[in-house]
Amino acid sequence: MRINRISIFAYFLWITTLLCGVIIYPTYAQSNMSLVTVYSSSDPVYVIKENTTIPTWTRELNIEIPFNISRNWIGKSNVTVHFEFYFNIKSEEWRISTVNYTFILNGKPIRLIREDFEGTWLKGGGSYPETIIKPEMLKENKNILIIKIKVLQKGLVESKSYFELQIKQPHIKIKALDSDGDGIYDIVDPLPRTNNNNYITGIIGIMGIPISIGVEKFLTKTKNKR
Amino acid sequence: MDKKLLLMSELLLLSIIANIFIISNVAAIGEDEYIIYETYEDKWTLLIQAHAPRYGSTKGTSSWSYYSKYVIGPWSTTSIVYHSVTLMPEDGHCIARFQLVRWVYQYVLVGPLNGEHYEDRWFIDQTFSWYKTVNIYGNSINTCEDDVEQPPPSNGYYFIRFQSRYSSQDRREDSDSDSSYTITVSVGSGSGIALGLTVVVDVNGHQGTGTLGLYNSAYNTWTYEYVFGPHHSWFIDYLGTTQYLWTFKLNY
Repeated sequence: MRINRISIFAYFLWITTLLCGVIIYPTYAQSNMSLVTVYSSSDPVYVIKENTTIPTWTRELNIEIPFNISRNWIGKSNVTVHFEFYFNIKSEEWRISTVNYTFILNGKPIRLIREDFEGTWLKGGGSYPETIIKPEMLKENKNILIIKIKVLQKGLVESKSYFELQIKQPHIKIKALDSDGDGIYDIVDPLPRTNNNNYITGIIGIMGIPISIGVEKFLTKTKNKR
Repeated sequence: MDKKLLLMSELLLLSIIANIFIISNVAAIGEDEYIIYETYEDKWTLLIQAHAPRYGSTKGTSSWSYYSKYVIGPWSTTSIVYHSVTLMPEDGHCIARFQLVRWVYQYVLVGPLNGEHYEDRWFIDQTFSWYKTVNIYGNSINTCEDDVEQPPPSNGYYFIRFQSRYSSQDRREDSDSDSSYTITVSVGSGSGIALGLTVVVDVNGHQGTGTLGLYNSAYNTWTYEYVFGPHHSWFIDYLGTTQYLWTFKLNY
């Protein structure tokens, strides 16, 4: 009888520990945690502006975004680069303006985007597909991303030309990942590749077994007494 | 009696096994495809266009939930490119934005479930981080009748051909007041702002005709704003099958 009680106690202790470890603690831990961190550049807007008649000219601009990421966030978060651009180009004669964006992380180029503007009167803005920084490229703690912007405008003859490119709100977003989609983020999930809800379903299912055995025993005893 | 029952049970079991075997084999026979010929070409591919009326302006906006859907060829092969840009042409200038993408042409033998037949397919295989925004207003800013529908090759890559010209009047705007006025057209989630624009994709001599549609996949509203200056009049032609993307011809 005593052995039975110890078994039942051990059984419920195991279930409680499992529940705490898989669901309760991770849920509590992530409720006190910021799941998205944003690092912005020092200025909100960067401008390359040129008012000239020279047919060919070039300008460069570097935007630095330093950011920190701790070791346990690397690989368990999505690190992406974002910015918006706005352009206003007016020239008397047809010109081609080329803008090259080079993303340099910790001294290594990781992505190149090229944008060409062809014509005399172009105005608009937009953004590019987000640049995802692979975890293996990140360093523990201090990282630095440089967005190197190089503008080259070419025309055939001397003519009045106005060029303006604005880079707005460059920033890095570090967002906690939930790989298995169970609502518990990888950063606190002891089972990041397995849906924790399945464990809970299993645990609740198993919980029925000792109760069923108890009921069965009780019924047998009652029968025997009769 | 027992032996007969046993024999019948065995026969029933055998027949079940045989049926399972036959069904599983029939299910395994599916539609097969054999690529007989394949070629590809990188081309400047239209994402979005905006036309401004003379003495006015336009603002055509898309964000990452918006996409351009190409349906090409008799077998309606579909490709999708997402984009986020706002084009703001002014005073009769028209702008189109392109992305360099890899178009693939395939000649495929398909069969046998729906009958053995050959299909020509044109589809986008990959996109590159290279964009181009180009003036397409032609020789006159008073009218979109001569707008460019296929810019000359640029950086060694050809453009796809697309519908952009004014051809006939669908609407007219007369600005009799002393100030500008704005007409905003917009679509909500899941709708298309410009559908059925004719496009032609040529992949190394294999020419496929189809349509381009600009769609909105999110809750945001996709908007085109047309601003008309004072004391002028314009004829307007709807591009494609919807009434959102406009081209213009100055009346006076």
